[in-house]
Amino acid sequence: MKHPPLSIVLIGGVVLVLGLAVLSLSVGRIWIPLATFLNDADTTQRAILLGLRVPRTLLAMLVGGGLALCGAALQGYTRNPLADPGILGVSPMAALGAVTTLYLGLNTTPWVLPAAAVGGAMLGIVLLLLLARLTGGVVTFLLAGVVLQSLAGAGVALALSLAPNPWAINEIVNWLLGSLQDRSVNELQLATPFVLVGAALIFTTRRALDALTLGETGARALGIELDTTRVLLVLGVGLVAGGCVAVTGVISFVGLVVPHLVRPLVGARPGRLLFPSALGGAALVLAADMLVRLTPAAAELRLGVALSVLGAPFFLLLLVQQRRRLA
Amino acid sequence: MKQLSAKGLRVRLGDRLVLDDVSATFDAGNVTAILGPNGAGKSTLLTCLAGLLKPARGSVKLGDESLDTLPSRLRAQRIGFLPQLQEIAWSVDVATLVALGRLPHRGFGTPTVADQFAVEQALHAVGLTDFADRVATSLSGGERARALLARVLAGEPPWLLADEPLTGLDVGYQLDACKLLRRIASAGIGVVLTLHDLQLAARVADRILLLRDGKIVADAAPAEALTTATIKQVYGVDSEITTGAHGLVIDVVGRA
Repeated sequence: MKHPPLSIVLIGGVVLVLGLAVLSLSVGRIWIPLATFLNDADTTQRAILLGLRVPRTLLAMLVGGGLALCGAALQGYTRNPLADPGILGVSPMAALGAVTTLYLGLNTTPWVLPAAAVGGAMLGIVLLLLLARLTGGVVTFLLAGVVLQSLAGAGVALALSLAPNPWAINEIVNWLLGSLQDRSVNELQLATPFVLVGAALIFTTRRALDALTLGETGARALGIELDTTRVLLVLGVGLVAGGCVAVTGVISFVGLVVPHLVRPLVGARPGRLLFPSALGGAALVLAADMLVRLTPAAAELRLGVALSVLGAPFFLLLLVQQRRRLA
Repeated sequence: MKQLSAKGLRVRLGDRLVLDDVSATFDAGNVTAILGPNGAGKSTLLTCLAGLLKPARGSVKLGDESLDTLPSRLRAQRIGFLPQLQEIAWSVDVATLVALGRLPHRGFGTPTVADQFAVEQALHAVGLTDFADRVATSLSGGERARALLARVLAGEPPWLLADEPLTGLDVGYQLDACKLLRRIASAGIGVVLTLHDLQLAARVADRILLLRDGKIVADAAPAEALTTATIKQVYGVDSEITTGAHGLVIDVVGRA
């Protein structure tokens, strides 16, 4: 099984992401020709470009890269090709944290909501690991994810049913659908530190994720301290997934799909998969976000909805492939 | 590091005493086989010796150093451990799988020439050089067992601890594996195994440790440790033992 050299894949990935990013600046209800980037003739176009398109494009890269990184790390840690922050209930728990602050009207400063989302995400992974730790099989993790999703769903439903006014309901529902629409530099500033710090923590677990290919005993025999790995992943995935959910709502399936698309290019070693997956996730979300901008409908299609529509059949396909292993 | 020694090991799993005051010393350059019926504590003893399970009482020392205080990475450099469960979670190629054995020696950077050399040597030792590019999860049982053994050898550990490395191999591979283990030991590496097959144990081991209910029943060279009396005491079976051209012949005749 030979793969192209990693450097080629990485250069290709960076070129792809940069190309899509430039395209993403120009695509939308109002097309901005690439030439506008260079001269400042049209002030309206310039305002759209700097005020909306640039932050949206950067956020798409950040969120896509972050979620795919979380997916790759979770798949490596749980040795479960069906893992994803959305499917395992981590993102829904982050959303519950965020919705709680919306419901309680706690958002007096902009940092409350992302902090609550990060807290929710971390609580989600801790619960996930507690629920699945005893046996830790593929099925157990998925079931634990279902439990967490139900729990988070119930909490959100509770907040919706008790919401003080229609405006709050509207805000919460908008949240849950997941979108990059009308995001500004403020959101970018909020999410970036969480995602970058979390990503750095995730990258420190590379060796451990590689070693876990041999199972927990095998990894420990190679000198890996799994307790440390667990803490690093809870913090890392919590920060990244929480930071992403805080500014875009729940976007599922990116973390599930991307590692599978990247594996044929770089091989299945989990630690090696991390960075290419982040690039792939950035590319996928950039592309998906351009598609939703171009859908001919009265209101813009939500990114989270669009990715779920694309991701659910993929999940089904993987499940069918895995059936023998799961039985 | 010439000796790996366990002193007064006591391990409790749930309310069962799995190891009860076990003391034994293992020598580098020797193959020692730990034998005993299911549940006798063989795997538990081996896991303690590898530093992966902390006994409730007692300690394991590598040379003069206690495994408790040895940093896990150093421990992993010195003790290679082959778990009983042959887990390979991802479809990596054989060379990548074997290279995982270099992790205790490596930082975050790319593998060095020494790393690559060790991987090639390990593949050669188990006869899988031509399999380097094959997907590890698609290997047959015997090839898989050899690939995982190569993973341990790639770490070039002075101690090799293997939990039932011969289980699931056909007769030919079992003999090959025995030969390989002997060769590893003759290079000065301390080899400790758990086994089920008395005949193979007598053939491969310099020394045999017989366990029953967490206690050592015999600890001696094969001909002394494996007698009709000890086999009856440990396994509850009658046997006839003769000396053939290739060593001990152990014929288990029936339940005592």
